[in-house]
Amino acid sequence: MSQSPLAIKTDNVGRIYKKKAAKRVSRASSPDSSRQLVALDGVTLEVEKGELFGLLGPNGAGKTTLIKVLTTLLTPSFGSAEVLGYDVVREPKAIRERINMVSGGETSGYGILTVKENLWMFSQFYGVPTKEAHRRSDELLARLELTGMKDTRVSGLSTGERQRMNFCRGFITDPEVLFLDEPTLGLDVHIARVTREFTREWMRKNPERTVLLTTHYMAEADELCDRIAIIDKGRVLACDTPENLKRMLQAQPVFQIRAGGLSESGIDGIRSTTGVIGLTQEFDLETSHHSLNLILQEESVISDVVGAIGAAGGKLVGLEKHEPTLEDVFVKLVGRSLKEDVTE
Amino acid sequence: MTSLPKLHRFNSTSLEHEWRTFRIAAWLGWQVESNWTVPIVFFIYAILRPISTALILLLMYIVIAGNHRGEYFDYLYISNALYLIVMQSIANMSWTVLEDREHYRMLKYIYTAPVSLFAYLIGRAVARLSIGISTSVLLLTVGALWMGLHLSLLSVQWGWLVTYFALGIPVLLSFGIVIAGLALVITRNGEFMGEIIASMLLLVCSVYFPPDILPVILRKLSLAMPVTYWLEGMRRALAGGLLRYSAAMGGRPISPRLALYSNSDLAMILACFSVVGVTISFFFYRWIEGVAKARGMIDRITGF
Ligand SMILES: Nc1ncnc2c1ncn2[C@@H]1O[C@H](COP(=O)(O)OP(=O)(O)OP(=O)(O)O)[C@@H](O)[C@H]1O
Ligand SMILES: [Mg+2]
Repeated sequence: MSQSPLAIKTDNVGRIYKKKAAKRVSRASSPDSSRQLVALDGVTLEVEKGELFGLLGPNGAGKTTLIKVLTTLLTPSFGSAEVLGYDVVREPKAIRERINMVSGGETSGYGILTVKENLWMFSQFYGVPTKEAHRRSDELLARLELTGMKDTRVSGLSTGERQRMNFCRGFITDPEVLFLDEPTLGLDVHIARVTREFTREWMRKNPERTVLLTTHYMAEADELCDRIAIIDKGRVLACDTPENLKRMLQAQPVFQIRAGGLSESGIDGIRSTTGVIGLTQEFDLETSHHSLNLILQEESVISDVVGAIGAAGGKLVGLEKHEPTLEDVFVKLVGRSLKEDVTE
Repeated sequence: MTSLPKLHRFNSTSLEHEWRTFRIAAWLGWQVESNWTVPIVFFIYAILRPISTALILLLMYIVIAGNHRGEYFDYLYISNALYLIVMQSIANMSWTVLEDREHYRMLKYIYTAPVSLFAYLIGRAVARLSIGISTSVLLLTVGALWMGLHLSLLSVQWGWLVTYFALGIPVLLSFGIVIAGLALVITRNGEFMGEIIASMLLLVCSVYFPPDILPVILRKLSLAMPVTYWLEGMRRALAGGLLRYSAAMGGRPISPRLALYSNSDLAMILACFSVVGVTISFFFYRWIEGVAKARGMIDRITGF
């Protein structure tokens, strides 16, 4: 190979799930199209070797589905995908030798084995020499603060501890491309930071390594990822560095407004004001104030917004303009906040 | 490429790697099987249950045939003991697939690892198969010592025993692989499938009923089943020759149909079945794995 292949390359890749119609729904009322679910709707992406690439999207956007296709767990319905130059459908074996995957938020692991045995077993499946496997296992367990538990049976671990072990399992085989599907889901703040730092360090040690990560946490994506693809309903809406994504909003000012006495319909009224591109809200129980985050077409729209608040019987408490965040970009593209998903 | 450490380190040949996969899977299988938190459960499951089945068999025999235990009793008793091995190898791997997918939630990680799932499943099967074999041996011993089974170490045809045993294992494991493949795509109640199929085979594999006494269709089916020939060969090797009704009843073979085959005929038939079985199960599994992957079943939790 004269030119080193891309770490990941997908070309209009898609996945359709056939939904079994629920028994109660009569066939006549559910035409064929409604029994199909397009989980991935033609995704085209290129990830270079050495990149830490993020997938950001609301629940059901298709992130996990894309990872399943790339890790050879699921056949795509159309389009094509390659990992390190190998086709996911035709050359799964070559891909499996070079990748690994960690899914967060699940309780996997052989309960009868100890933490150390679980890791050792997987290192063997990937042909890592035993001595090297033990060295890596010790190092990883120490970093994830599991050293004291290395001889504990997995059945005796908490969910978060299992997930930390699972995280170690992903790294112990030293993959060329590592897929992390919400690796920090459910981890406490401290350990979540440790995993982020470790991932960064691991990438720095060898520029041939690539990570594809999905997350629900904006700050995590912003801090960690070299590039981010925002996806929704199986489509890529934008793909760029976090800085460039935020720059997309430069012409569109973002305001934070605090107001009291607003009802849901009042907020809907504000949302439908001409010139409002995006609006997300949070309610502060203590002060019973609403905190509204608004992306506007242009600065002058703010006076209409203030007017709308007054018309809805609300009382303005505070108003400030701020630099766009990744969250704002997301709201503009997807039409709703990721936080609303998470708290659901 | 560069001076960087090479990330991918598959130095071993694929055969070496499959052997390693097999060994580790066997080790894992043993850990899982020997994890009887309550030894009494193990005792009931692996020893008491088969022995009580054998006792029921003995009682039924006495009720029907009186206290005289002829070679038909030997036929029934030996078949029953050997059927434990058949059962274990057939039900076993489908159970592993379901357990790994739904209980341990590890199937997707095994599947995306560079291992052959064949080597893995067969490795996992070793522990249960050993338990099945040990229980069979135990049953035969108990039978010979206390239940009037005509079996002595001196009359066993050891050469044939080893031959039949070795030829039978690939056939049994092929069955297991095919059913494991089905378990991969079946969404509900997959855990019973292995046992249901094994029980169906009970009827047509000359376990209790020689093919001669079955209705025509079942007889044809019985004669198409490799397990029929395996059991016949194993019975002959253990009993020290063809089993016959007593002289008072004419001394004819218990299965005249199977008596048509000499020992070497049976071995040849089993050898052919092994080759065919291994080939079919290989391609069937490859195909059904593709189906599972297309349907997204490899990591589906069906809540079995
Ligand atoms: N096995 C399946 N059968 C049918 N539909 C499925 C299946 N798996 C996923 N889906 C559907 O496909 C869509 C995409 O799911 P996917 O798991 O890829 O989303 P996601 O982006 O990972 O979401 P989350 O943030 O919740 O993890 C969803 O609408 C989901 O309901
Ligand atoms: Mg997901």
